[in-house]
Amino acid sequence: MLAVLIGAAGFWAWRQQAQSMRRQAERSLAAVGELKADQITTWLHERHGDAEMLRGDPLLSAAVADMLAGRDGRSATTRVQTYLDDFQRNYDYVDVVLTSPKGAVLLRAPNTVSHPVGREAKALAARATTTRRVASSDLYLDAEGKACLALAAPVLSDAGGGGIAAVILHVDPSRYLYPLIRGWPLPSESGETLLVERRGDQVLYLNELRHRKNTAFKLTTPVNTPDRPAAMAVRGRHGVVQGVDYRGVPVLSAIQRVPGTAWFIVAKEDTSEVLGPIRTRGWLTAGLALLLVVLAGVGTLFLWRARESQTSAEIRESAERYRALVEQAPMAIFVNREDRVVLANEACLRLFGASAPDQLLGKSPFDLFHPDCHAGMRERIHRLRDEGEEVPQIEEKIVRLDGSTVAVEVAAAPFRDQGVDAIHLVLNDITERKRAEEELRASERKFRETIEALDEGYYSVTLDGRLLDHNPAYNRILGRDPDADLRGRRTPDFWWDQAGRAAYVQQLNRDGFIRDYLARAKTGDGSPVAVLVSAHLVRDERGEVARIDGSVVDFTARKAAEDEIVRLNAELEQRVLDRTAQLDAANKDLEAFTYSVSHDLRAPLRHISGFSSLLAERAGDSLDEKSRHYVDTISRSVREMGVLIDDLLQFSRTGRTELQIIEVDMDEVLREALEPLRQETGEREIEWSIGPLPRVVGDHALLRQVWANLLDNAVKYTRGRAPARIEVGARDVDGEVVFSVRDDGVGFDMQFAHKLFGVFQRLHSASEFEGAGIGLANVQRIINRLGGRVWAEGEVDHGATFYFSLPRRKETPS
Amino acid sequence: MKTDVPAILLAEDNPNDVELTIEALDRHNLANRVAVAHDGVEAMEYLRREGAFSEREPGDPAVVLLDIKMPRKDGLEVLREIRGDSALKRLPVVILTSSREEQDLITSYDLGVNAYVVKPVDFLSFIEAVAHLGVFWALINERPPNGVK
Repeated sequence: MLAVLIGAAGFWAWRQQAQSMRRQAERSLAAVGELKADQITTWLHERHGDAEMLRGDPLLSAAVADMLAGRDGRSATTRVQTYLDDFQRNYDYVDVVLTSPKGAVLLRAPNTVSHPVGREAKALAARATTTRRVASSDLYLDAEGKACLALAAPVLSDAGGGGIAAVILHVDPSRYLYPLIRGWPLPSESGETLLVERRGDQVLYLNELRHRKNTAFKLTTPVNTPDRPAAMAVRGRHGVVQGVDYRGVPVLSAIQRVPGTAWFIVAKEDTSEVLGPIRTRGWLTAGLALLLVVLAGVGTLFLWRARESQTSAEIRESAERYRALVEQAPMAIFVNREDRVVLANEACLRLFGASAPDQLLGKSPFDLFHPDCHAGMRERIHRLRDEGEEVPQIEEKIVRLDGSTVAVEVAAAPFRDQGVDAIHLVLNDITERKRAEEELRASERKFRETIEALDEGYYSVTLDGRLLDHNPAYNRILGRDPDADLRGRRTPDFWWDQAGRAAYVQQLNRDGFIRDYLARAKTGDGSPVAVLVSAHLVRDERGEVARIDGSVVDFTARKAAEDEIVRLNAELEQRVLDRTAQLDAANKDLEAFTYSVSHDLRAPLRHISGFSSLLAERAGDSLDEKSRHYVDTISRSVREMGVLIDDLLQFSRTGRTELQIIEVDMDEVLREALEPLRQETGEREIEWSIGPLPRVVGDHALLRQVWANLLDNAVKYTRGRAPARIEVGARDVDGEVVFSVRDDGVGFDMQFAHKLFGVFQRLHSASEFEGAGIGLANVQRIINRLGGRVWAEGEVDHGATFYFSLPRRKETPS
Repeated sequence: MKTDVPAILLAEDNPNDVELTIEALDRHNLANRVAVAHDGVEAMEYLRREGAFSEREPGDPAVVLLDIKMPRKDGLEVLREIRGDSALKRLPVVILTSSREEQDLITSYDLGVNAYVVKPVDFLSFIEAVAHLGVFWALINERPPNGVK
């Protein structure tokens, strides 16, 4: 395109230039023609002037007349001769000849030359003398073959009539005329001027040619030669013509007639010279245009290539950026092109539960969304892809690969993907948001329910005193219809006295809160009621005070309630004191009792034992078998009584001793409790299974006693099992630690389980298993004191499991 | 050191216990070296040679076997007085009682008792315990030096 433009412009410029140059060349040529014609005319005029001067010179005519008349003898001839000589010298003619009207030579100057007077000259002389006017010849070749021009001036007598003689002036054209014609006013290689005239049907070249010698009066061309400028000249053409000259060379010619003659001036130059510069200029222009075209082409190519490479780099970069952005985006993104998934990012794979892109790529987007959404999707896709409209974000449900549905927010936008209209979708999992919204709603509901149920009046009010929210208790306390909606009402109207309100406002503004401010409110019927107001300023996210939230209680009712609480507390305290005193007294009694038992109950036993032994000793061998049996029975009973008393006293003590509550390592306690059992267990085959036990908070000594009792029982009631299995363990159950001791011993009947922990309750006879039946009672008492429980499971002959629980140790920051 | 003062003062209100105790000591030939006080008051009078004991020979027993539960003045009070008496404070005192009440044990040791023995109910055990006590304190143990007064 650009090349065509440049070419056209170049051509046009060249054309303009060529025409301009051609016109200029033509003008130059025409000017040369005119100049030559003028010069020739002027020269001819001068020659005529010379002749006219001779014709009109009375001196000459008188002298000639004298000479012809023979008057004055020789002197007349001499005068004429002198005249002619002077004239010939001064005017530079080849020769000047005085002839008779018939053309016979009379005198000549210079008289040294005998120049023949030709036919033409004679004719001229006759014409001049006849017409009494100057006559001139055409150019002709004289007898010697030289180009010649002749003029004849009549010599007139005073008497009138024909001339008495004629003066013939011979002009050698080669001396002046031809050089004049040949001369070219401008530097030119081929510029040449021709002087031609018609001779019959031929054109005669009168002057010497530039390019060919010896042509004057010799070269002719037929008048009808079409493109020969000389021929055209004689045919009447005028001005500048194109043609082919005598050499056969194309020339540009200016044709000019020489006025008063039959001559034509043809000023010509070779077309090649005239148009050479134009062609050169043309080639130059063409070359320049071509260069320009090439340059423009190269430039354009370069620019295009540069832009191309820049553009493609930008496109690549942009594509990279897009890919990275999409891949790393935390939101799920996929591209729908022609209803196929063609791109899905990591987040998208996660969202759909896909482990590889292949699981999504190529699928129809409709497979990814819940059928409920399909109609809406079709409409949106139509709007996006076909109408080019924007679509708003929308909540939809997707179907994950495992079939579960997830609520998402979908943003879609159209774009061109590899030349195809595609849709770019961004999915946001809004499960969490919906859950949060639901939680918020639930929380609000709960808040509403709570404040509805409150006995305290709740209110929320704008800074300018408009009620935003309140609960039924608020209405009740302010003596209004409990169901009335007071929102929008002015709370200052609810105050009995504005002074009280002013103080409330002031304190609220100063401290940001107010507590139990005693005020009088105005009830619905206009009566005052004493209320306690608590309120605080609530600020928004920017920290600006947004509203006031507060509560109001009926002062009178609260006062009454508080008084009641004080009274009840006092009463309770008195009761506690009374009970404590009673308890203290009972404790003291119990202590005195056990002390007494400890000392006084044992002494008689000891005495019985002592004296019965002494009796047996003293009786010695005289005591018969039966008596000895009696004494032994007494001793054994006394020992049993002693154990019983000891156990009872210990049981009493476990209820009275002060608890030493510390953190207790149960593993260690268990080891300590096992130690005294080593003797018996060492002799027996017992498989112990003791799990790790947690640390608890309790009384170390008492817990040791618990373990000792339980383990002792387990060992005792598995007697006869070989091997015996005893398992000790612990586990966490509902905030408690439950310890257990399981054995595979004789067990017990569950219907008597409630008796297990009673004092002196036994499920086996003393002869079967020794013991006072105080051990489990002790265990229960200790565990109860430590805040736990005891229980047991068992089956006759299939073992028993004893459990006790303790509150879980509170984590103490240490 | 040869002296006529009995080696053991037995403070015991119960005659059965006195009898059984002496019976036990007798088996190790220590019965003739026992003086008996029937309550705390008597025990202090004996030690201080006051009242009925003002005429007794001077000198302290090798050990006092002290029952806790006695009329008028119990064993713990006697122990307190002994330890508070500059003339008697180093006297070896052994509590010999039916009770193993924790509070009694604590008080006794706090007051500086030299030993605390619970009388076994079983007679053979009782004899053994008392005999050990008598032999140890009357024969084996070195008395505190005299003449501090």
